[in-house]
Amino acid sequence: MQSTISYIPLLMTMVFACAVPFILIAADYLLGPKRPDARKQTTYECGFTFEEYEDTYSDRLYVRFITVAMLFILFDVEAIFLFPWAVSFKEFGLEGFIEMLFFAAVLLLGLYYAAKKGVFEWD
Amino acid sequence: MSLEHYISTYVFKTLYLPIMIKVILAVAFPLVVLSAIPILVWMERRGAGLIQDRMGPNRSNIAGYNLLGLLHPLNDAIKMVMKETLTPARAKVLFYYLAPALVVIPAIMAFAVIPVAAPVEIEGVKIPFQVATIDPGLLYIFAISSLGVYGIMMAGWASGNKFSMLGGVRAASQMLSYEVVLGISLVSLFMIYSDCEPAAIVEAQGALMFGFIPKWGIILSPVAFFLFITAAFAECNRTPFDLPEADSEIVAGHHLEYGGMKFAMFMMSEYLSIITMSAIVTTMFFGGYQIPFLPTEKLHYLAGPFISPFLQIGAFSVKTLFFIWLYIWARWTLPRFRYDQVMKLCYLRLFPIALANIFITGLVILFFKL
Repeated sequence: MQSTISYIPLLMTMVFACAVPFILIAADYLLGPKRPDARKQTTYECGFTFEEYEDTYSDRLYVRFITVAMLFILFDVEAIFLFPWAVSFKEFGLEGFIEMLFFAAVLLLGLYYAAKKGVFEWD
Repeated sequence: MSLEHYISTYVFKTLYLPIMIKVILAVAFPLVVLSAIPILVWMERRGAGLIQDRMGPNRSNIAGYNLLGLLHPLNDAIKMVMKETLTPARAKVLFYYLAPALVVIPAIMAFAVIPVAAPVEIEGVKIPFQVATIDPGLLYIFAISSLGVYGIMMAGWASGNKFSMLGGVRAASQMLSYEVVLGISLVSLFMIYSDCEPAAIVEAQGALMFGFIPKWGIILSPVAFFLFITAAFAECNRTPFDLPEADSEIVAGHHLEYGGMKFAMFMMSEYLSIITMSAIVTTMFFGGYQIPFLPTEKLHYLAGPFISPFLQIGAFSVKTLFFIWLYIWARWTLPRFRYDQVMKLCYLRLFPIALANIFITGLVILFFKL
């Protein structure tokens, strides 16, 4: 119960933090001039017009970014397991140490595989 | 019942007053951090002027007084607000406006668990100098600050520009990768202090080793410090890792289509995350609010409960400002990496070193029964 109460100030900070961008965008919208014209609103790209370059920007992506995302999931999950393990490390002692060593070794094997597959060789 | 009598009642002291203090803290912390942004902008310009022999901020003035250039950030703010509100024709309007907000909100929230002074007790009322004391502690900071990636991805996608899209994806993959190193580099300190709550770690750092060396994180785990500061630079998209904004390749990256205050919000979040990262470095590695060789009890005994919080806030600010200066120093001194080098450095160098650091720290703790 005590631990739940201690999160309430964070909620208040969140309310305040949500108000800040709202105020800023509202001030920007109210104070600035609004004189839209078609040429001004075109995309900041060289030479492409609206018609000839319809919606191709959002469906093609370099596949390396996807592999990076998968690696991130792999290692961030490991990081989350490491946090509570580290806090109670002194209670676990040698046993916990060896268990985490195996866990990390399996993940490092994955990293080695990814490196050998050339995930980090960007060209 | 008179007001004075009411103030001294038990209910007021133990129930209402702590709630009021928390509300004040929850608003004051973000306000202070937000109002530090203009100072950082000023430091950045002065730093550029000093290091690269440039002119520096010398134009803005009120009746001939330029106040060392401190008026430039104010001028910036006015200019940004008065800019034309422009929505690109290809933008997805809702997400285009939502993205800068989603970048700024986590950046403001992340600072909330960092203690700026030890709690004091005045007439039976405990005053903490930390918005929330929660057990996850630093896990909260990592969880919240990584939410900023959503805003950046959204900005890149909603702008309807292929440079923005590429910039957004690039920024996201860089920030995600370095977040892993950022988290793992601190694990060795959690092992040493057996806690991941910042206030408890700072208290533990007040003790002395062998009677004269403070038990600061940098002394107990120096490798973690260098890993963390490298990852923190990359996490804030600062030089030498400022790849998300590369003029020659992807123009301004994810905030290419943004102007006025919406652009300023991306800059704000960058400066906010610099402040937060510097505060974490101070808290974890340099004793937080501790004044060297003057632990909290001794300070409270010497200076009393009214003055000592201010001294500790001063110590915390000086240390944090030094690391903010380090960011600026690096920006005007170092050239940038190539993108593939950045990713390789993260996964093939920093990550294995961080893991090795954890297990070596573990071995030392087990061997010496610390």
